[in-house]
Amino acid sequence: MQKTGYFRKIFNGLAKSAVASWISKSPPILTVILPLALHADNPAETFQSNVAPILEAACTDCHGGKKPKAGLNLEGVPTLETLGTDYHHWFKVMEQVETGIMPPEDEGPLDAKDKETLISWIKGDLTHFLAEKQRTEGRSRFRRLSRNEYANTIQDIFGIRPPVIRMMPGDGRADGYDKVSKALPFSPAATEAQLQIAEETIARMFKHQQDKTTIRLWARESGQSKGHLLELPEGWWVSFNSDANSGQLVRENNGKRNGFPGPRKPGWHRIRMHMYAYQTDKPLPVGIYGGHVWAYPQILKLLDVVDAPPGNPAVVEADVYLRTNQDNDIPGSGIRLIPFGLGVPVPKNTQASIRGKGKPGLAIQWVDLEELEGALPGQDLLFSDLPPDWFPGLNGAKRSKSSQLSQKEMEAVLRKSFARIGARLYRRDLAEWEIDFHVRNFMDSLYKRETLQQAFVKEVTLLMTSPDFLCISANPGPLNDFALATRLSYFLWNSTPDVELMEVARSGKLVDAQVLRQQTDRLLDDAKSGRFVEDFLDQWLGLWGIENTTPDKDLYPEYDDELKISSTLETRAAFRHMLEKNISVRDFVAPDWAMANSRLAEVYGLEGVEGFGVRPVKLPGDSPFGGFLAQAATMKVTANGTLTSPVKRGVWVSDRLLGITIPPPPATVNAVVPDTRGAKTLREQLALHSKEGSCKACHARFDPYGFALESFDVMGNFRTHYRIPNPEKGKGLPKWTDGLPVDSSGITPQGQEFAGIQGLRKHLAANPAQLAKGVVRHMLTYATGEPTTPIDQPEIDAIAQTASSDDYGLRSLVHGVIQSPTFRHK
Amino acid sequence: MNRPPEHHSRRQVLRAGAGVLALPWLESFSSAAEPAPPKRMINICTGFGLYGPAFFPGQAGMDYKPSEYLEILGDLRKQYTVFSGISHPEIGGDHASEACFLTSAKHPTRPGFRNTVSMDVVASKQVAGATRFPFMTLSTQDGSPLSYTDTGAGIPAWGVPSQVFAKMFIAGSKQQVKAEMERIRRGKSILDRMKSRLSQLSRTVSLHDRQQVADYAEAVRGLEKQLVAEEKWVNLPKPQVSEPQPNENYPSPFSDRSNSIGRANVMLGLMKLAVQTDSTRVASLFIKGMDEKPPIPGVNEGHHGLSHHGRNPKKIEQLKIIEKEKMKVFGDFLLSLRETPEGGGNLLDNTQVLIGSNLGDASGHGTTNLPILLAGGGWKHGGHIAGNVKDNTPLGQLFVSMLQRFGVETEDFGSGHGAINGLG
Repeated sequence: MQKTGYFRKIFNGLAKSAVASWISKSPPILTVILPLALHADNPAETFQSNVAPILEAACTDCHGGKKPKAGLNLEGVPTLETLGTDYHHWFKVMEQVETGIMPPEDEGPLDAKDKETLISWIKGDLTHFLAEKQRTEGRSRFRRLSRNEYANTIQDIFGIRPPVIRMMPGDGRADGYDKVSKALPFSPAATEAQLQIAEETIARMFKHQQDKTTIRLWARESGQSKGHLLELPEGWWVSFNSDANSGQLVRENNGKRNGFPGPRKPGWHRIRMHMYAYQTDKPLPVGIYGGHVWAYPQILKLLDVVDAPPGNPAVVEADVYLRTNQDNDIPGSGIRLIPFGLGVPVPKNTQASIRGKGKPGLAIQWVDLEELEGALPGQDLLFSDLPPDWFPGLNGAKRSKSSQLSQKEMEAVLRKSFARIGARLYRRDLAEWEIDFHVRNFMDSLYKRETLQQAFVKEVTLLMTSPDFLCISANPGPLNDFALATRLSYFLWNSTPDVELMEVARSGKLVDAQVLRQQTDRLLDDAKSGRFVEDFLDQWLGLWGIENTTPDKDLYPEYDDELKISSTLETRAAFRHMLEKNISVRDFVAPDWAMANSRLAEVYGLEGVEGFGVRPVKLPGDSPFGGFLAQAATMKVTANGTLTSPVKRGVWVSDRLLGITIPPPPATVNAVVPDTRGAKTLREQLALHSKEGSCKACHARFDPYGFALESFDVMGNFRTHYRIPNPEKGKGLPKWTDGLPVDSSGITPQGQEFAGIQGLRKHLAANPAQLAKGVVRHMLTYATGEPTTPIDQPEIDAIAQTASSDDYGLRSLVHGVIQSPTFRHK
Repeated sequence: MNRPPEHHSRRQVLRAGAGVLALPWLESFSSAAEPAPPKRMINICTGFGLYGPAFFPGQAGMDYKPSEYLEILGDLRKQYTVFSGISHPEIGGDHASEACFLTSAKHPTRPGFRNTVSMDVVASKQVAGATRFPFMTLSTQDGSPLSYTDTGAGIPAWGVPSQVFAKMFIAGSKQQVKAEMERIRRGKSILDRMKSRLSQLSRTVSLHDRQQVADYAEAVRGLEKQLVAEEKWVNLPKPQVSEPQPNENYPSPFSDRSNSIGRANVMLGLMKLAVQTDSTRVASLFIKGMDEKPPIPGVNEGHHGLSHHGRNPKKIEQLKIIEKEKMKVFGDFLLSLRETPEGGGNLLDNTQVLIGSNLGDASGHGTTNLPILLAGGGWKHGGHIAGNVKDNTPLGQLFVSMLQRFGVETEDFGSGHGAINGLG
């Protein structure tokens, strides 16, 4: 049976039915809750009876007395109270004992039964007690929205994405995540920016026209690109370069082609591009960029990529969110089209018509920007309950007749309006007193002779600067419908619930497991779930750092923007594909497919893949590539521009893919300073460093993963030798040559030898439960905004276990996370 | 500066702006005694370290032979002290250490890391209200700031020179001033509402959440204080300077992402004007390391890649070209302070300038053995204070010394306890 992505759905369906009889014997979903709700013994009592004697016999000689080793004192008898607050060291003890690091070699190992008793006390009685305590007190903390969540929220409610990167301080990361209370400190600067953003956003609701229009842009030659572009009849221009001189556009105003090539108002636009790939039979990828297009060098942000078809002119479409000068994070709001992969074949001051002969280029005639929204969502929100003559400029009503409302009628209008606006912003229904407050305030403003608009801006600003809007807060215990809707939508959309989700919450049905499941599916199937895929992968796998380094251009001359962009698209598309088809997490490490486009196909050695769009492609059986374990993007973010480190990649595999946290090195250990002059590989240099006692024992837990990944260089190429600068210099000679050979063999922490990446893949794929636990651990942190701890381990295990019946399908795991008590409690 | 230095004494500059009344340190102006110029502090952090073998001198003490980089500072030698074997303890190797350069908070890469207050913010409290800007934190690029509040929240750095200049020196029209007053008034009323809502919340949220709500209320009070201070300054005239307002248009360094040294130069110029006109007394600059290839002849690779040189001599050679250019900019900056007379001495005598990096050996993201240099501020300079390269002196001790000199009565800052030895 073929196992490419396209066939995977069928494969999964079969797998499901094959295990169906087994599933029916397994208990229903309640098992997730049971292990935690199970009666556990009082850990203080069981400590005294079962654990204390073991510690006394094997540990307290060193870890006791006045100067306990490593500052860890295991003497004394804890009470329930002290166990509740001072428990972290027990999980360290567990880790050290489980991995055999403690007791140290010269002290002799623990008796197997004692080891079992000690560990099961920590994992059992102690963990159950702590989990129960956590459940009552609330696991997650009061926190503000992250900068990204805040921007998404305002964009979804009002239609204008605020320039948070320009205006607000950046967030921190805890355990890699910016959704965690600890990573989100409050600051006067952020509060000030939120105040300004609120006022500006609302004021703009009174300014933007509510009609739709289409703006026509024409290709042209720019002052900077004079002579670089080839002019064809009827206004066609051809660029032969991949630099920012290509694809300049101007707006047509009253028949003149001289206007600024940008949108009229912020929002979703359909871009239609009349273009084709010139002098080639292959599609040409084209980046749609927005930003300061008339600066030099330009300040641009990539918005999307499309393929220009070869041969004949065609209209290519893409939907993109465009920002204007006022709300953009970078200066400017123009559009520009730049082809990828052409290099700069036309040197400066050379006529394109001469030098571009026979070479591929991008031919553009015109580009339309069609506005997809009439009224901005915020205009609908603010004005739809109001009499049409309140703000006549907005909705075409004439000022001639004012709706002479009595005070009572006016208050009724305002009550209805603020109840709706407030609920949308606070993600819950407002209390009567809250509505009263705003109506009274509003009327006060009018008495003080402020205009309707001023009164409106003021009240909505108050709502938008309230902690109820800016923060996520819940009461300890099970989340109520509204709090659950909030958690769900910030998980899967990285933004506020939409009107439908709010309606379900209002009806009190969201807490129903089946309804919650339906809503989960609806949110996942909505385009906004792309934010989950992007944001979660950025933080889980560290893709946010893709631009941190550029591979050394002498050693990796083939690295380019097209690959960088393609590689992140691949990782996202792979995750999305697995989510849609509920593919087993085994394919994180050992898929027989990859999401490839023409550029990635070059790196992965695949034939017959054309065009920029990534799609599932079958990998040959002996391919070293595939899966998050060895994609171009993940290999890039785990390396720097010149070097790969097996330590760094090993920690990444363990912590990110397997969910096994590696403690940081002791403060006294200095980092190994890599030496690339060539006598020893970095692996050999590190081996010297980590050959001793506790270093060795710990490094053995993760280094081996990194050894196998040494088969991939800093941009994701498969390699058998390290690249070094070519000692022979000269025109036409490559700048690099093969250096020392790569040794990608190792022994897994479980003691299995492997010869290279294939062996490691096999080993990891044999334990999909561990991969499932890994991603669940990270999704729980991301979804609840609270880093997981060993206390959460039983539930992580339970979620993974439930999805075992679906072969650990990714979508089943997402459902498992959302249905879990941890997700559904504060 | 186009005019000769004597035209730039701070007093003259300020007279022109009629802002004298606003300056507490000039209160004794009417008396015969020359008023003592205020103390200032400038902190500069550059992102990718400075190549150690070219930065650190071989010998300790007063008679050291200048290193390759210190050679560039020429006759400034008596105006600075160079340090080695110094760093913040337990930071851990990573670019994340940027955030800790002025705070000394430990382990920025560990889960649950929370930053602590930065040294410049502590200093600024000492002179709160004395200047239009309590402190100024600038950067050559967006990114992690150097300055942090008491609760460890990053303070966004200003990165657009024309705006920084406008805030300091360009007087608003009557209408703009009115709009500004109006904005402050509205802001205060919104903050009142936030405070009352937070105080409700502090009673209803769970025990575990109270600290977060209290932190929020603290941030709101912080902004309130800021608005009150702004209200006081909004009606006072701004000082006038003869320097033109910088802009970001091509070909300025701010139109080119890769030109971080050019950008630093512009920002340093603004910092000089800021302290010279007493617009602020505490200013920090983060020179963010950029991945791009800087526009310097002889350099054909990105700065970040070069900093990870892996001891490749070709890369080190290029890295040194970049860093020498940077050292030259630092030297010019210190010279321009020294050439500005003030209160019988010069501006450098009254300004402590800390120059350093959060990374030591940047090739391996090392955060020990940081390149550190302290200039000016009235210290007895001229030496190389060499710490133990294996067991570094806490950099916080130098910060304690700097804070003490600035007038802060403290024996501790972050992981530094007591003042540093050897600095007099």
